[in-house]
Amino acid sequence: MSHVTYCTNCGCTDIEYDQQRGDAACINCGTVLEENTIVNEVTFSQDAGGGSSVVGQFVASTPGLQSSGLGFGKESREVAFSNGQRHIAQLAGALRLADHHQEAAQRLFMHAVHNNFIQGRRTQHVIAACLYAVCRREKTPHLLIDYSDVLQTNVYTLGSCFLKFVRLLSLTLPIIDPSLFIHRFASKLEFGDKTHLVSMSALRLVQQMKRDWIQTGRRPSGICGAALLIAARVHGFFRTQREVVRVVRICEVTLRKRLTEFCETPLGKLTAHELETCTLESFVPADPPCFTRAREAEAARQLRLTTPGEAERQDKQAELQGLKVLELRDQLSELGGATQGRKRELIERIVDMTRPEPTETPSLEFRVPADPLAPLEAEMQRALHTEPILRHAGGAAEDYIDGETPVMGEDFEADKDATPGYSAWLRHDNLLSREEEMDEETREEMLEEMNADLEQLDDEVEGYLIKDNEEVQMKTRVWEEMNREYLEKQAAKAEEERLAAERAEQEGEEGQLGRPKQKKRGRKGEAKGSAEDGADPRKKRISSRINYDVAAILTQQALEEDAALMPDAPGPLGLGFQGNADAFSETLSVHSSMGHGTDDDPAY
Amino acid sequence: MEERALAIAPPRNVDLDPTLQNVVATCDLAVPLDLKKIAMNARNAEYNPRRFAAVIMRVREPKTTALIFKSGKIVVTGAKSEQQAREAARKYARIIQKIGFEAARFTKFTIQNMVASVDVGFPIRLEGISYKHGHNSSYEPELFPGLIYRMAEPKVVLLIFVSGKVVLTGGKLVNEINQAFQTIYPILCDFKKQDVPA
Repeated sequence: MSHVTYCTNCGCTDIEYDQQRGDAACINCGTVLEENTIVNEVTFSQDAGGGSSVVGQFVASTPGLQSSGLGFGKESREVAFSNGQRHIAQLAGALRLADHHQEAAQRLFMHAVHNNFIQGRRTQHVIAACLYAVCRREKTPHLLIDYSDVLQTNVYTLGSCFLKFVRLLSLTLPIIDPSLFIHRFASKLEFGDKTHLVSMSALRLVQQMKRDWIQTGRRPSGICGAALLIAARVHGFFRTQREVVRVVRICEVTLRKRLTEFCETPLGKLTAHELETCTLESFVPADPPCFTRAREAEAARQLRLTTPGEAERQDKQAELQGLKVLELRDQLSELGGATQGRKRELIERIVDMTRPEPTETPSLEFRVPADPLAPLEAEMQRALHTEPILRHAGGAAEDYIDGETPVMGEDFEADKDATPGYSAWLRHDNLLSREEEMDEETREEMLEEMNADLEQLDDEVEGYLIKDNEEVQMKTRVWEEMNREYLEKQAAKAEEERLAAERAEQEGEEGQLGRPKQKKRGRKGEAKGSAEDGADPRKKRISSRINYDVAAILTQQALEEDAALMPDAPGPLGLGFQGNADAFSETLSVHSSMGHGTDDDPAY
Repeated sequence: MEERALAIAPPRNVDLDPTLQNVVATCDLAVPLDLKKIAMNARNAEYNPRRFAAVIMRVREPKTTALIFKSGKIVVTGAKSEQQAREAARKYARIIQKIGFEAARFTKFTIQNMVASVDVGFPIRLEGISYKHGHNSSYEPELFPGLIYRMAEPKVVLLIFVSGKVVLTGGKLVNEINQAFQTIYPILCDFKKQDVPA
């Protein structure tokens, strides 16, 4: 607290500190060495009336809501910051975070404000990013999905905001550890007094999953779910997948995948008792499941290329399996709301069927190459397979076989001689970095080359063009019909714009006298109505439920009938001189019966 | 188990060069286009103005898709190499010329983005990279299974997966992609999964 130990003026060490005044003075020469020092001790002073009061004022660790004094409005940053503080408090409350987490988040939020990170983002997202960063640093059992739950926003939106925030402040956060969440999830699964035991087993499993590379790249909640499910079963709790899924909030399929992956590790083969007692270190860590899968797939592909008939066999197998699954699905849908047992069995069979079977044959093939010439043969086979692609480089796209696409444009290497030009482009292709920009001349040359000989492509392009005029018209009709709504809207918009332009012109001629702004506004409203009228007179309709076109036809028919009844009548309504009362009433009756159908036809 | 370990680590002598998967290029034909006319006169075009303000056109060889805008600007995607993108752009330009916009000529052609992928063939410890190269990588298994590595020079973003597969994106030249892979490969080797002898 007392920092000054000697006087800067005379050098003596006799210094008097006065806590109440908050200053330090040299006794020897009288120099005031410190003024208005901040002390964190509580001191009281007594006033003239005998009451005592606390000396000093409260200083918050974070700059809070402070009014900047008389007559000055608050700075917008201050407003933003105080808003943020409020929201942080709310969110932290909802997630039951401690006060010091809140404060840390507020400090981060201040950085966000100063770095202009809040502009163009929702405050909620920025706040979630701040709080989550604190949670990660402090290793609290909170997942980003909890934030998205409270804020009712997409977890990936929050995630992208969080990642940007972390990058902006170059925060180094520890990698998320699934074992943090075990206790939290375990307490929700109602294991009673065995909660601790179960979570300990689950933690062991998580540890082993980490060793077996199941954890890497996987969501922590999935790992926790699988570990907890197995641990629960080991301790005699029959928790279903659904129950676990509800707590850890992942998809049931994900959980099942994690479980199958665990089954395939050596630990997965043990009994419950062995699992509890074994020493984990004695097991060789397995390869990541996705790595194994990729290798197996590649082995199968290689086998397909090297062994004649293997491709057909694999295709056939896949097809058969597909058919079987289809059949089972059909059965399932036929069952409908039938008994649970049968349905479950069917579903399990489908799941079994769709699970990729461990391919033993291909792996064996790799372990012991049947004959020493096999690799050579594979090379030849590959060459044979790739050749047609190169030959038909200009042919149909179907020639492209997946995975056999030529690397880095090698295919065009062959074509280069055939296509003239491309020299400037060749130079461009050999550029090493973006800094080596081409000069203007080369650029021109390159574009020239692109434009040259476009006619050469005519043959290839021909097929894409529709030459038949009738077909074009047909297509146009169909398209116009499909996009009628859009076209009408566009037309109305164009009309309105045209009118607006006209109006602006007129106004320009009239001259800007008086209050142009008000005048304009008044005219605009007025003109809008007229524009609508002008755009489409049919729009002024009474009801949208009436098909006016049909109504018009019906009216027309009725009128024609009338005319046929009274050949002499000059007008369709029979109001001529020779009009006879009966015919007229008949006309009316016809009309009224029609009017019944078209409730409020505007014609009547 | 041992059998399996052997089986899944076949002798690999694959030359490790990233394979281009997608090239995005833009070009400018410098004539205003009537999109409806294009859509009506080409078999390979779709135009739904309510959803998107461009004609979507495809050619089969090289297998690409183009977005053709009213301003005459075109975005060509899906090519597997720069040359393919160029060739495809020329085809689209010719189709547009044939439909009746004779004045269409290239005034700009730029490769905007390239995506390449490569499989290094060994598992990678993502956590290790994340610890050691924290400043330019981000690994959040909650959000994305791979590690995102932002290389400053060349400016390329790499997605590194535990299976040993790597996706490189954001480059504008093949050389940049290759260079980025050359830079990352030693790092990946450093964080290769060590086989513990049983």
